[in-house]
Amino acid sequence: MILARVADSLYWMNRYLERVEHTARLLGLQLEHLPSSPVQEIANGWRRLFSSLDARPPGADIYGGPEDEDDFFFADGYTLTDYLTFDTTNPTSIVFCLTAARENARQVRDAISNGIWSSLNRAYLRLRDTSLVDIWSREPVMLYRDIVETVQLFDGVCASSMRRDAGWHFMRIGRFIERAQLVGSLLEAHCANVKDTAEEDSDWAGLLRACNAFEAYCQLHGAQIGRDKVLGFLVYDAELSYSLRFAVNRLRTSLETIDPPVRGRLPAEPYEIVGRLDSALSHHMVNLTDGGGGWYDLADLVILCRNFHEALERTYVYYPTEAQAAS
Amino acid sequence: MASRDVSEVQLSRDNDPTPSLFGHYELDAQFFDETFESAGQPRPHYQLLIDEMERMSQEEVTRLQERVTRSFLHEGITFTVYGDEESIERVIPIDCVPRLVLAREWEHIERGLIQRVQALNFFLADVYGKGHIISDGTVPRDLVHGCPNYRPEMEGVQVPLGAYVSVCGSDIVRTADGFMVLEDNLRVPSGVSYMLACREAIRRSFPRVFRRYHVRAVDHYGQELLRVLRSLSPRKGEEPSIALLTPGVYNSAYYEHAFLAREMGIELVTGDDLLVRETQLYMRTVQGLRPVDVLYRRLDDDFIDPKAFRPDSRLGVPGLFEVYRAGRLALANAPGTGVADDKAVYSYVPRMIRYYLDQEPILDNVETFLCREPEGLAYTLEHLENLVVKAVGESGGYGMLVGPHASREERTDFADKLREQPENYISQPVLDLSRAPCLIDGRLEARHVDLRPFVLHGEETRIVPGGLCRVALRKGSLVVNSSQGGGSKDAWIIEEDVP
Repeated sequence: MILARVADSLYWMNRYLERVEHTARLLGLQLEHLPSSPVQEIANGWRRLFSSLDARPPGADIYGGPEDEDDFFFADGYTLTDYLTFDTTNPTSIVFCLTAARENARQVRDAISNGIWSSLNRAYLRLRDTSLVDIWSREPVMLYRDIVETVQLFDGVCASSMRRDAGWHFMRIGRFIERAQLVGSLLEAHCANVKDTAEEDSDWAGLLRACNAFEAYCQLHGAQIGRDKVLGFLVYDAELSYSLRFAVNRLRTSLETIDPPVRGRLPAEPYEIVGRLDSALSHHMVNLTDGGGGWYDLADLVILCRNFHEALERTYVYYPTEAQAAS
Repeated sequence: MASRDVSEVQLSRDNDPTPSLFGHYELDAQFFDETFESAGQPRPHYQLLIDEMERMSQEEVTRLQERVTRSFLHEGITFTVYGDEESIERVIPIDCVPRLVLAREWEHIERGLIQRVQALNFFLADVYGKGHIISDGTVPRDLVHGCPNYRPEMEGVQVPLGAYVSVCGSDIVRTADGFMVLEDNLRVPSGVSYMLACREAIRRSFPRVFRRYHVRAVDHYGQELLRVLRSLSPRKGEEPSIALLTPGVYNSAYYEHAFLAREMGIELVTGDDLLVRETQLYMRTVQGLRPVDVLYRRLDDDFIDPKAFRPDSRLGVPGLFEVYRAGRLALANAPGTGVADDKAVYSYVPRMIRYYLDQEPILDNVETFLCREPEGLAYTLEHLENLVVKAVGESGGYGMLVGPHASREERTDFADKLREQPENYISQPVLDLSRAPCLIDGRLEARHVDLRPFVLHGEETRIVPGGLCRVALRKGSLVVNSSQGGGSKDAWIIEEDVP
């Protein structure tokens, strides 16, 4: 049994951390390719990055409309990187998300171990004391590798020190709903990019790397990297920890532990939504080719993820209390 | 590894032309020094610690101090200072040199505090019950009933075990005349987490001497507190559901609330987590509402229930006091205990001890003049430059005047305040608080200290052997409160026969 507020904070702490890791991985890859890529590809990379994070480049409002192509062509890497990493007023920046994760951890300091807290707090203090000026001329990529590792270390400390109680499962739910939403948006953004560029220019290997799935893909399919196989892998593979299907499976497992389904009773709303996601993914009902034909678009899945979040909060955090006391 | 460290220490010391750490340590005949009997002559029980520290180079001690501070930062043992734009988290200053207290001295303090807390609980039961001590004139009625922390709502309420004060933090000071109680904190005393965190950090820093001194353990404080909380539960024969009520992350003692909840394995709740339905307190869990039987509340009386006390409080729980009155919830501490740690009521504590226990007080009070009494006011005004004047309702070192340190204007201004509202003030002689060595800018200097042990009162009264040793880090300052530039130290209760 766990306090509703505590469950909510654990959930958010992990949503934010997933976002931190995701943004850091994407940014790291983007910076790694800056020196060697053609301008068009760099601009595409930024566009995909921003649109998958549902973010706008700084100054976009001043210079033009939301779809203004030039934003990414003329913006310099330094400004965009700084904005996505260190800008404390940008709610999608790494420092913003890490601060929010730490703030949530602070609110549930009693529910998490010292090791969990201090791994997070140390990462926060480190990032707070860093600025892009310090690292830009050296190897900025290292910072992002470091951040990714920090979050993975955090996961390791949690996995080895926590009981698999409701708190743990709310953390898992936060992790995997954010992952599903982020990967879904990234795939959507990538596919949108593909429409505008020649097929061979679009960077399917880069997409795999952005999902931490390049090596796993090569082990399974060899080095033949093509659109259908890559998308199929990232959406349907049940054993890949960054695939949509994997994330949704984990959501279902955790929900079943927190609130086991009872025969003869309607399942709770979040469970019902996960059920829809699950059947879409296990029966390959997602529209991944240009021709269409599937039941769901990637965008539909992202919307279902949002609905899931709202249903979760309604069911376990902000539920009505009038009728409950007597029972 | 250890042997290498030692040789390095000696090497660096051989090459180091600067005098030892204690080279600049100054004694002042006016103040009792915890460490030295006279210049160059340590008290015998300090010898071992001094030897250990003298073996270190100045650099090593500074590094050790930095390590201790860093570990506080990483664990988040901070308090928040609110600025205009953003809030800054500061580490509680901790000094790495432990203060040593001999077992025999400790046992004296322990007996004195147990006696005191028992008398204070009898007093509270009396003033909220039949009021004998008032009706027979031992304590003036208007002093009690006129006290802003007196809660008429508590009259006639049955308090489990008669334990009004379950947790007490009394401040003990030492002068050349011995140990005295400077004040009792009977409402929501804080600082115990710093005592425990200091212990962790300092034990790591001096592992060898810590072992050789056989320092008495304080680590079981959480279990002791939990035992007291369980004993208060109205749900007899069943496992009680216990929670700690915090004002939230923005409270300066939030670290402590989270720490204690974790130590005891109880829920840390805010007012928003709790609600009252049909004379029962509940908390909101992910599986619906669950009853709460005992609340260790770290929230002042004023804020616990907007229906019973301050109506504008958003931190508490509407209807909570009604559940308490009905005996379906235990609160630690009980509401209304503030009447017994009022600075004017304080001066009656020795009389309470004689009245209820028929014993002589083991620990002395500090001589106190009540400005509400004409003689007290006259004496205070006449001797202002030698007295500390404190506002009765304030705590945390606010609203006070330290006569000898104040300017003539400050004293004149304060005298006007005294004449205007004499009942608001008490005065005490300036105490020559004892001093102990603290690391200041890489060398040891004498600073004034006090000691706050934490007394736990349930079916019996117990104290874990130790306390938070507070230090006035500003040179010459006598004010140890953390809001006024104070820090803390570890206090070791050690056996008589040091090896």
